[in-house]
Amino acid sequence: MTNNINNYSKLNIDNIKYSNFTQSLLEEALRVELIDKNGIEKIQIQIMETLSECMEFYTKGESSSLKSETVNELLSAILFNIDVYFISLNNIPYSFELLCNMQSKELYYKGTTQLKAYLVEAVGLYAKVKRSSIETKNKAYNQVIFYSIPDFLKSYDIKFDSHTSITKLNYQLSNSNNTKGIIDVISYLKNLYYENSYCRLFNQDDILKIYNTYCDSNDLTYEDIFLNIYELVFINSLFCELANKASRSLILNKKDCIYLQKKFENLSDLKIEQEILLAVDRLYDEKAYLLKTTNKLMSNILNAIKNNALDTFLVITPENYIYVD
Amino acid sequence: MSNLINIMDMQKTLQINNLYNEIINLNDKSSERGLFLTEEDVYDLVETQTKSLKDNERIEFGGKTVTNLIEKFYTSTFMSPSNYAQNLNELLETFYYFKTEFNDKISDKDLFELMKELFDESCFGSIELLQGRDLEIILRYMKNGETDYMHLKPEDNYNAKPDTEPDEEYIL
Repeated sequence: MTNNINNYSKLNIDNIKYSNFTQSLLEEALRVELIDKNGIEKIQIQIMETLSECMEFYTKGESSSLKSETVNELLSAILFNIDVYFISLNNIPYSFELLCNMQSKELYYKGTTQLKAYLVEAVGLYAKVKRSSIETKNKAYNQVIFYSIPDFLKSYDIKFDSHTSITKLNYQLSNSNNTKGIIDVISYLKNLYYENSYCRLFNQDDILKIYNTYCDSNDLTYEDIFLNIYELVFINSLFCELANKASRSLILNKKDCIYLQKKFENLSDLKIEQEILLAVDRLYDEKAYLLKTTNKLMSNILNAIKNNALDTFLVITPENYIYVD
Repeated sequence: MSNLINIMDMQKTLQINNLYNEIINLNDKSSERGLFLTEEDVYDLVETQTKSLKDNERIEFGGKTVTNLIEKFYTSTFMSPSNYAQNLNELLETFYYFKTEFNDKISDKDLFELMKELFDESCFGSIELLQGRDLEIILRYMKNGETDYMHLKPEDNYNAKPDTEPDEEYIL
């Protein structure tokens, strides 16, 4: 089943989904006739044999049959482990060669080995996230860092349930990736670590102050609000920068708001966007994540400026605001 | 799970490949007791397995359950050439039904043992009694949290076990 390297150029990479790598690779290979139905059947049989073996391990040899639901989960875990191995190779033609020529059981075990390394990476990242966490009353944030993630890492089942994503990530991050299993958690931890690190650049009392002001002005309780703290910090820090306030400022008052509204009054959207991107550039050395957040929020920012609504878009601390813990 | 790697398609292929021969080979043993499955009986048994798996939303690769069932039951004194094939079909249905109802908390080996013991000792070869009375009672036992259901004996009067615990006011 060895294929000429030139044939691989027919594969459309856009049709190969990272979240379902093996299946979509096979579908694409079938579409461009790199493989025929007999070749597919050979791979299918091998995967089913791996599944059959997995069922035996799963039941410790005590049951020959299992509920369909359980078997489907086991199959998803096998395919996910194979996906993980292929994605780690970062070479689609080579992955396809292996899929055709290597036993699927072997591919599954290679994925398992890769997942063990990811688990170690996730544990290390989690330690960094925990160390960098900010003090807040936000329940979702604390729940994720102190309970959901460590519980998931402790119980993560590489062999039989590797594809399952953590279900209790109630704290929504500014940017997220559509992945599965431990890869999803690693991506979440990397992003959360970045968000924590950014928040750590600012005075923690100021963060508390804008968080509480936001909750008070929207009549929300400090504990139960579903809010991304980093976004709140980012927006205020960005507009402090645009208002030429001292570096690492977060607190904006009414006067700052009026100044900012005037500053952008007669500027075109393009010009405002340029100003904002220049300010983002000055905020922090590691810019990729900030730029993603900026792109996500840009239309909201422009709308707030156009509609003269910066005072509701930003967190404006009243002059006489007294923070009570 | 859609697309090219689909369990339902593959299950049948893997199942049919060797199962017929394995079942036919067991005739060597059972024929010593005058029990024999024809080719048609074997097809029926495989069909019953496929249907029972589907009805109980279960998946099995290969035919281990069928061969284990035959190995366990051909020695029963209640098996005769006239009822052998039909009994095996009904016992197979019973097995998958209770395996599912027991929520997979009982191993294949234990369930076969339990079925055989009840079939021979308290049901006197009646599958109707096995399904509708004895296994149901044991299932109820298990759902009430009893774990030692493997060692229940008819003489323990286990079928007198109530559905639920009596109300506190009736306990002296």
